[in-house]
Amino acid sequence: MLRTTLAGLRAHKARLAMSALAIVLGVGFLAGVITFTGAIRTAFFDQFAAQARHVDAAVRPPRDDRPKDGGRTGPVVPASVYDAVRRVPGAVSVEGRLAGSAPLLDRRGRPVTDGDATGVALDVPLDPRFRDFTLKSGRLPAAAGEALVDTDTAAQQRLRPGDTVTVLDAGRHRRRIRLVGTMDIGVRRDLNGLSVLALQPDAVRRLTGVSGYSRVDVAAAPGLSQDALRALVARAAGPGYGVVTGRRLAHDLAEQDLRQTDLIMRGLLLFAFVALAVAAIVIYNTFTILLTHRLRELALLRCVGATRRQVFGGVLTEALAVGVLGSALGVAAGTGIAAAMRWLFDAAGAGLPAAGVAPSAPAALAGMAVGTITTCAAALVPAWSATRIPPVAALRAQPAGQGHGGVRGRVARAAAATVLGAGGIALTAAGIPRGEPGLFVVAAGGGLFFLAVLAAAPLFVGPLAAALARPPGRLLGVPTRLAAANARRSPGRTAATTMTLTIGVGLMTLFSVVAATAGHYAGTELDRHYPVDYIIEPMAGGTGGRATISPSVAGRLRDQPQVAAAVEVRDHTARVNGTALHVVAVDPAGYGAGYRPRMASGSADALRTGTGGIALLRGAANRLGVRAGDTVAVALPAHRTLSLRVVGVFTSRFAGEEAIVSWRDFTAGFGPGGDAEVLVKARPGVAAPASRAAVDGSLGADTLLRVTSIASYKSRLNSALDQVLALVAAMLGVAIIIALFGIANTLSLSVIERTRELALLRALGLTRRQLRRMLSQEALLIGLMGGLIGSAIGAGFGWAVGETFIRAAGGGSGVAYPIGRIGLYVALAALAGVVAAVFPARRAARASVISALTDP
Amino acid sequence: MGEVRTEEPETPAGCGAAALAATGVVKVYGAGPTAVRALDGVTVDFDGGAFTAIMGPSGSGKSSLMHCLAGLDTVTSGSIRIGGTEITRLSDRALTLLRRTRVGFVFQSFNLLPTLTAEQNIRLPGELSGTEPDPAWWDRVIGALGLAGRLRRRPGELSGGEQQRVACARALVTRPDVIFADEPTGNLDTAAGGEVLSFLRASVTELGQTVVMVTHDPRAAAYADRVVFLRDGRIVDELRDADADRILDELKRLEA
Repeated sequence: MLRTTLAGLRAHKARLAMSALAIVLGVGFLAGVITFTGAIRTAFFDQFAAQARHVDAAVRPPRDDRPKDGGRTGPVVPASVYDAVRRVPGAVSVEGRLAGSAPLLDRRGRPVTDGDATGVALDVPLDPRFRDFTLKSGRLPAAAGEALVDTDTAAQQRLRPGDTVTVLDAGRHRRRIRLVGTMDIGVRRDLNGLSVLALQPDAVRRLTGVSGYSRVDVAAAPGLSQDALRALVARAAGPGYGVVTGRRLAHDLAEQDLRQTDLIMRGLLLFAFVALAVAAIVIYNTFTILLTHRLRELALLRCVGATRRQVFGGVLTEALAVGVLGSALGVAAGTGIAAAMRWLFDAAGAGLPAAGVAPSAPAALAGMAVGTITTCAAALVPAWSATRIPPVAALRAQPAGQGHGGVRGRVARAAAATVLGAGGIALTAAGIPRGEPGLFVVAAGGGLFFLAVLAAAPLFVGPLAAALARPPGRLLGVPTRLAAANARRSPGRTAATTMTLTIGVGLMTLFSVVAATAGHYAGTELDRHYPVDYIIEPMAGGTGGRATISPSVAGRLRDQPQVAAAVEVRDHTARVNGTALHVVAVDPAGYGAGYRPRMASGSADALRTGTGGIALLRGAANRLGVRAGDTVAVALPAHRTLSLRVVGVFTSRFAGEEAIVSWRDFTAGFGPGGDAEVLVKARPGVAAPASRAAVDGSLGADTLLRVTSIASYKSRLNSALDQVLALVAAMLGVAIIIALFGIANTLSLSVIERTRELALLRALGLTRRQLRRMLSQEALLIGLMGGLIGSAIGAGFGWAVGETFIRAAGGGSGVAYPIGRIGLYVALAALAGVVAAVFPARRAARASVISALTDP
Repeated sequence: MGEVRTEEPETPAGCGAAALAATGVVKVYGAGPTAVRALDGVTVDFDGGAFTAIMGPSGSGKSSLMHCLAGLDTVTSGSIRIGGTEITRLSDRALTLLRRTRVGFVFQSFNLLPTLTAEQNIRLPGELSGTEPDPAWWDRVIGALGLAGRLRRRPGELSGGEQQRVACARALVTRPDVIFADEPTGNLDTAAGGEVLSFLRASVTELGQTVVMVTHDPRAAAYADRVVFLRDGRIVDELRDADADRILDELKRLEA
C-alpha cells in the first residue's frame, strides 16, 4: 500500500504542490511569528540581563496603590531605607538610583516631547558596575553642570558633546547644562521616546528636586549568593518595599517591557491560526477534488483487494507526506517571514530591541507539528469518503461531478447550520449587553456563526451565483452564463473555495467597522458633550509627576475676543465611600458651553451653581452600589469628610472623570489650586489660525503647557486607527494569499476535470478569449461571493462588537460602516479571484481541442 | 471519384455545388523518424444536400480526416474548402467563428454541457454567434426530433438516445453548411441508434442538410447516400446507395 501511495504522490505531485504551498505559507507564518517573538524576547532579556549584570539585589519602592495626591513624583525609596541597606553586611556596594522630571527644551525654547511627556534626568551611578547605559561618545559628566544625552534625542535634536542645552528645573527655571557625551539606554518601556539626560547624582537631585530613590542597587561581597543578600537586604529595608535578586530584577524589567510586545505577539499568533485555518480548508478541498478524479483508481485498488482501512491509510499517508514536506518548507520560510515582520514592525516604529532572527527549535517543532496535524486533519473527511467508493465504480464510465449530497445530506446541512447559526446569534446577543468582558462571548458567537455559514454554504452558493450572474449574463452573453452554471455545478467545492476568501474579507470588514465606529464614536461624543475647539493640558513629567495650569491662563483666554468660552476643569483623586475615584469639578460658566456630560439619570444642573451634590459615572455608581438620591461620603484632606447627595449618573467622560462635584464644593474641600485642563471654545466665525494664535498667546510664560486642537486630535486618532488597520491588513494578507492559492488550485483541477467539456465548447464555437473570459468570470464570481459573504458577516459582527463597546461606554452614537472601504474589499476579493484564474485559464485556452475530444 | 449531381433528382435547390472539398490533404503527426502520416494526400468532395459516410479500418485516418475537414485540426498541406471558404489558412479565431455558424457537430459521447438544459444546449452555438434561430425552423427541427417535451431537462435527466437527439438538434438549428457526426451511435443501443440515424437521414432528405459521418458500423453507413473508404490515410474506394452487407464485404476486402 505504501508503494501505491508513493506512486500516487509522484503522479499527482503538481496538483498536490498547490495544497502543499498553502501549508507552507500557513506554517511559515506560524514559524515566523514564533521565531520573531523568540528573537525579540531573547533580545529584551539579554539587554536587561546585561544592564543588571552586577546588581545582586535591588530595593524597589512600595507599590503605588494610594490615591494620587497631586504630588510631583511617584513613590520612592526614602533615604532612611537607603541608609539601612548600606549597613547590611555583605553589601559591598550600594547605590541609590535617581529619576526625576527634567524637561529638555529645544532650540526654540519648547519642551522636547514624545507627543505627551517631557524629558527626564537619571543619575550616572558612582559605582561604574551599576551603569545601565553604554557610553557612545564623549565622556562621563565630571561636574554638576555636565550631562550625557541619549543617542535618539541627540540625533533628533542634532545635539553633540560640547553643546549646551536648556532644561527646566523643579521650579520651572531654565538651567543651562553642557553635554559631554551621548549614551545608548537600550529599549526601555518606561523611557521609550523620552529625552533622557544622565547627570551626577547630586546634580540630578538639585535639578529635579527628587527626595528619594527610584531604586537601590546592591552588589554582594564575593561568595555571598544573590538569594542570601536579598534576604539580608529585605530585613534591613523593612516591610512594604519590593526587594528582589538581580536576576529577578532583570527578568522583571524585561517582562515589564515585554508585556505590550507580548500582546502584539498574541495578536500575530491569532492571525497565524487564521492563515492555518484557511490553509486547512484549501487542503480539504484539494484532497476532495483529487480523490474525485481518482475515483476509478481507488475503486480499482478495492477491486484488486485493498481493504477500506488500506484505502483510508493510503490517503492519510499522502496527507502526511504533503503535511511533513509543506511544514518543513514552511519552517524554512519562517525565518524569512520573521525578518519581514521585523522590518514591518520597525517601519511602524514599534521600538523593539535590535535582534537577529535565526531559526529556532521551538519554531521548527511547533511548525512541523501544527502543519502536519492540520494537513492530516483536513484530509480526514476526504479519506473517509474515499473508503465509501464501491469497487464497481472502477468499471463504470466517467463519474458525474459532485452532486448536492442527496436530500438527506442537504437536510442535515440545513439542520446543522440552523443550530450553529442560532447558537451563534444567541451567544452574540447575550454578549453585547455585558460590556467588554462580553467581547469574548461575542467572539465565540461570531466563530459559531461562521461555522454555520460554512455548513450552509453549499446550499446557497448556487442560487447566489445564479443571482449575481443573471443581470450581467443578459448583457455579456454565453460565457458569463456558463461561468455561473459552472460555479453552481459542485456547490460543495465552490462553497469551500469561497469560504477561504470569506475568512479574510470578513475579518478585515470586522476590524474596519470597529475602527470606524471607534473613530466616529470619539468624534461625535466630543462634538455632542464637549463642544470645544482646543484643550490646554500640562505636559506629563517623564517620571509620572503631575502639574497644573495657573488659573491666570483661563483668565487671559476669556479676555481674548476670538475666544467664546474658556472652561476650567480641576481634578483630584479622593476616596468616595472608601473607594478612590477621580473627582472633577468644572467652573460654573463652563457647564453647557464646553462641558455637558451625558446623563443616564438625574441632572448635572444642580452642580452648576449649587452645593452638596455629586454626579457619578455609571461604572463608579455601580461599584459603590449607589443611585441618584443616595448620599455618599467624600474623604477630604486633613481627615475631613464631605457628605454629598448623588444628583445623577453620567455615562460620557472626557478627562477620565468618575465623579463630578460643584466648583464651590471642590474649592472648599480641596482648596484653591491650578486647573487640570482648560477647554477653549472659539467664537463662531473666527478662522482656525486666528483662534489658535489667541490661545497660544494666552499661555504666558508656562512652557510646559500643551495645546491640542480637537480637529487635529480627531485626525490623529483616525490616522492611528488607519495604521492599526494597515497592520491588520498585512497580517490577514497571508490568509488571503493562501485563499488565492486555493482558488487557483480549485480552478486548475476543475479545468482538468472539464477538459472534454471545454473542448466541446471550443468545437461549438467558443473562442479562446471567450474560454478565458468564462474561466476568469467563474473565478470572479467565487471571489465576489467570498467578498460579499465575508463583508456581510464582518459587518454584522462588526456591529455586534461596536455595539458592545458603545454599551460599555454608556451608549451614544451608533456603529459606523465604512461603506466605501468595505466595497473596496469586496471589489478586491473579486479582482483576486480573477488574478488567481489567470494561469488556469491560460492553460485551458492553450489545450488542443482534438486531443481532448479523442481521448476516451 | 465520380460526380453525383445529376443522379440525385430529389435534392433541394442549392445542392450540387460541393459543400465541402478537400484537395491533397496531408496530415503528419510528430516529426523525424517517429512521424506518423495520418492523411496522405486525400482529395474528396462532399456534395451539398447529401449524406456521406467515411469508413475504414482502425488507424485508417478517418477521424483525422473529419477533424481536419471540420477545422478542428490543422493540416500539414493541402486545401479544405467549406462552402467556398478556404479554411486551412484561417486563424484560430476565424476558424472558431466559422464553426459557430457553418459547421455542426454530433460526437459519439459527451455532446452536451451538463450544466445547461437541453434547450440551452441547442441554442448554444447561436448564442455564441449572437443569432436567434428562425422560429419556424426551430419548431420544425424540434418537432422532427420529438424534443418538444424534453427542452427544460438537463442532460443528466435524458436517455442516451435523447441526448444524441438534442445534439442533432443543436447541429441542425443553425442550418450549417455541413454537419459532422463522429460515431454518433457508438454509445447507443440498436433502437436508439436507428432513431438517430433516421433523423440524420431525414435532415438530409427533408431538411436539405449536408451530413458527413465517420463510423465503423456498416449498418450505420448504410443510411448514407455514399460511403467513402479510407485506408492508410488514402481514399481507396467508395460505394453509393449500398446496403450494410455490401459495405461489410467492402470493409472485409479492405482489411484483408
